This record gives sequence, structure tokens and C-alpha cells, in this order.
Amino acid sequence: MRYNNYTYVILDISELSNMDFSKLLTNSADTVRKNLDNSKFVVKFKGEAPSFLNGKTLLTHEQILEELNKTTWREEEEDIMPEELK
Amino acid sequence: MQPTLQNEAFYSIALDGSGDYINLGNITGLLDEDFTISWWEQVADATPTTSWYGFRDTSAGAGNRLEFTKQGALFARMDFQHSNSSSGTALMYPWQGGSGNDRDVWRHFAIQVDVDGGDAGYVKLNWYQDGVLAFTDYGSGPTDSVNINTVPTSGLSTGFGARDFYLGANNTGNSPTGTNPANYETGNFAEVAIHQAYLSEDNIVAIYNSGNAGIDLRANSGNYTHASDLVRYYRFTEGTGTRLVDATGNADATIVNGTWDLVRHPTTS
Repeated sequence: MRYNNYTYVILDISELSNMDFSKLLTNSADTVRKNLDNSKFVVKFKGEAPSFLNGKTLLTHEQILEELNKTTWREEEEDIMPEELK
Repeated sequence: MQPTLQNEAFYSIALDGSGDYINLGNITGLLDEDFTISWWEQVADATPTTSWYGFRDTSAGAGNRLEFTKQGALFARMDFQHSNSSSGTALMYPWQGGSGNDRDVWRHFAIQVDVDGGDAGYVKLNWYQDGVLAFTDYGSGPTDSVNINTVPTSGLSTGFGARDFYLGANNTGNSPTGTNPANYETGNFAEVAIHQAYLSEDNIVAIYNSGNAGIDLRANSGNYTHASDLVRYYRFTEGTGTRLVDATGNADATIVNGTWDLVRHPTTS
């Protein structure tokens, strides 16, 4: 899987100003994905963790997708698949 | 070895589902005439997770939307909802059911919207996959369980604010700035084109085949005859940065959190 060499970190929004986006794959503070109440955000990087992320919990691609699929991160959409196709 | 074609390097953009998308900018001005949007996509996750492309504007009434939806690589639908239409809200949601596991297979998609009333005054939507018409929906079609509206006399752009159109996510547009990405896709995208025209099937097939033959859509070639209608053309040749250059010179796109990948469509050597 092409994303297996990415590492993800979920941080409190208060730490957003501490990020050096030149060392991250995430574009900028304006484009980080935030949870629904805007209290947390996600960044990602490739290779060795930048020093400002020392001590943080590192997640794999599979783990971050599992986390982001929770209702604290995404609004529930209608079930759009027709019954006959399920 | 880096794939090359016509002495140019080609790449794709990897979207990992964690908050990545491609922002094509505000294209609402293109909605008042027929248009076709096409792109290549390599779906990384064939499980039936839902992803949406497009935008909606919920600032007025029930909201207007132009969204294209997929669940994994197996199902798809299109929504066109327009609360300013002459007969109320329209919602189109035909489905294409598939089978098998499409994971990591490059697919070419083309969506056409006929807004000029060419079919008895109704909006018509076509969805092509790999050069084949997967489904169509329009007017009072006998086989479609849809609500249909006539074309608003003021044009489809009426009712849409300055909402950016996303690929790999949809812009739910609920924030004051009209920017609110959601429902992210996991996969690679490449070669996105928008024509201000309702292309014939021969043209769609030619664009699909161009993935192998290397047709530059800025010039007519064989059955491809709509070069003059090309209004956006992202060739994915940059390989670095967050800007996706529009080869027509009209409007560059922005890569949001996605990463360049040395993989292009379809596989070339």
C-alpha cells in the first residue's frame, strides 16, 4: 500500500502554531483536517518524525483512517446505497 | 524509471483519505453551458466507503448541490439539486452497480452535464467509465426513479455562491467562507480535463484511449474533435509543490495535503 510509509499524528488545536509545515506533508495550518468541534487536528509526515512531534503518539495509515471514521471527525451522511444493491 | 510520454514526465496525486483533495476552484461559471469533466483515478480502497466530489451551497433554502458520489469502486451516483429551479428541488441519483474488486485499477471517468435543454428541456447527466456509458439520467426517463426539474432560465449557476469544486472530497460549503471539505477519497488522481461542451461518445472514447496513445487534449486527433472546448486541463506534469498547472492557462488548481506520486495512468514504461 502506497501510504504505508506515511505517519500521522493527532494533536490538540493549541499546538497548531508549533507546527513547522516545511517538515510535514500537510500543506499548512489552513488546510489541516480538524475534528468536528475544532479541538484537534491531524498532520502527516514521511520518514523520521520532526523534533516538534517528539513524544506524540504516532499512527499508521490504517490507524488514522479508523480514527477519522469516528463520529467525532465526520458528519454522518445519508445511507445512499440502494437496498437492491446491498 | 520515471514514466514519460512525448518527452514530458507524468505523475499522479496520491490522496490518502486523511484530509487530502484537489481544489479546482470556483467553476460555477461553467455551469450555464454544457460541460464534461473527466479524470483518471486509481482507487486504493475498494471497500464500500463513500466519497463525494463536487460542491454544495447550503446558504440558501434547502441548498443546491452538484455532487458525484462513489462507494468504493463499485457504486456511483450523481446528485444535482437546485432549489431555485422552476419546479422545485431536483435530485438525480442513478446508480451503477459493479462487481469484483477494483482496488488499484486505474479507471477513467467522464461526467457530462447537458444544461441547455437539448433533451426536451431537461438537465441530462451521463457517467462514463473507461469510455463506456455507465448510466444516464434526464428528463422524465422511463427507467429512472428520480425527480426532475427543468433547466432554470437563469442558468444552473444561479443559486450557487462562490463555492470551489473539489476532486477527492466534496465541498459541503457550510462555513462562512464556503469551504468545508468532507467525505475524502483514498486513491490516486491524474489528468483532469473540463470541456465546455457535451462530447460525443466517440470523443469520450478517444479521451479514454489517449491514456495509452498519448493524445494531448489541446489538439484534435482522430475522433477527438473538441480541443477548442477545453477550458481546464491538468496534466500532472509538475511532480512537486501544491500547484496543479492548468495547461489551458485559465485557472490552476491547488493540491491540498496530497502528495505527488511517480505513478501515472495507465501503467506505462
